[in-house]
Amino acid sequence: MARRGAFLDPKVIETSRGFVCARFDPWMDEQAVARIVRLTSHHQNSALCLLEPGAAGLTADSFPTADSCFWGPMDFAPHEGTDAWKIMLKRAGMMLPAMERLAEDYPGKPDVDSEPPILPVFPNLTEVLNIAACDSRAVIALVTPEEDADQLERGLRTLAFEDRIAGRAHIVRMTRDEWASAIADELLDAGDNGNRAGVFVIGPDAYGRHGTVLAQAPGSANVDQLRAMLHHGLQEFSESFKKLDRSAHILEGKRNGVTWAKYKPEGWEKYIVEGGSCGPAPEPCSTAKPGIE
Amino acid sequence: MKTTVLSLLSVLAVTACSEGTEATETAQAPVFSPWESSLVDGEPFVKDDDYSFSDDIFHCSLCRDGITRDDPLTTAVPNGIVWYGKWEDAVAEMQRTGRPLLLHFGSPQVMNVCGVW
Repeated sequence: MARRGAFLDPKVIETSRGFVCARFDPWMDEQAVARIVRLTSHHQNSALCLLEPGAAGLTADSFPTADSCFWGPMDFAPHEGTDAWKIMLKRAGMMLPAMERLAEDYPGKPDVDSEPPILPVFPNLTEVLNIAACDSRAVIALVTPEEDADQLERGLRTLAFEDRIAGRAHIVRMTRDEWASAIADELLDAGDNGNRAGVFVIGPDAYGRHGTVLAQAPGSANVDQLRAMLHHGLQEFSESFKKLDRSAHILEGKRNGVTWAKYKPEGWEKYIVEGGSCGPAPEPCSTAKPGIE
Repeated sequence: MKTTVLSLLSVLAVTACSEGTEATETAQAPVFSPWESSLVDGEPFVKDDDYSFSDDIFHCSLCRDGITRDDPLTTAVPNGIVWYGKWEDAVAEMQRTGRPLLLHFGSPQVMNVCGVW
């Protein structure tokens, strides 16, 4: 049997449609560091949990703790490389039953489909290109024009969870100035779309440091035109994207000096304290390592 | 030695969790506990020996085992989870829909090499 991750399991993906799924890079910024420390009591690369809709900490200006979780947080850092770590990996196989139970208990409000979902976006193009490369997905960029912003975004909200589009790309919302800067900084090869607003399908390179526009729809596009463009762009991405397997990817990256130094979490040290509690520490913990140059 | 101690601690923690759940079950309606369910005859339940919880952990296990076959992320994925990358959007959508939340932290770099979990 081919090895696979739970996030690639068709049943997990199907069940996830009954969830709101949020993903964060724990190194992205100080706020991200603070959040994972609040959830798991210490800083680390990976954590996973399931929460009921009414769980404590689920507001825009707060964040849940471990006590709020229905399942998890799966927290591997203290056990990594040990037999306990392997046990936890196997225990993690029970995520799907927990998801199914939650989805059954909280099927959602009855009139939820009367409005399209809030657009699931990532904070900026730099981050989303890297994450898309990690996930072997394309990027959909909504470059907001002044006059057609609402129509375009509403169209994309309708399509973001539609079959053949959902889960095949990550989405980012950009202004025209941000779009122009990305081209000027050579983060993006946009061909002759340098000064246009609209919706773009972008293919990241294997390391997520650069993107190329594969398809685009103008700011005046309606939903059907958007759908057709997205299908075309995602198909083109699917036919062209290739990556080395994980080990070879890392080896080649190291050999060629590929580094991820686009961001440094300012102020992260003060959240890493002895014993793993959350909050500013009197002195930075000297043993903590950011993992990023 | 360290490995053994950690293993024992983990088993003890799972046992304690199971006992706590049993006590709750006698007083109230049955409580679902994926932690308890992960034990079969006192051993960790293995849904699939090659199954792990996350692309990054999954890949870490491949890397650690020195196995590189069948990496599904070498080509574009045909389907996947739809992720919100902003907390305020996720909370707003959860409040709008009344649906539960799947929350994941993952680091999109390994040894400073980007494009990989």
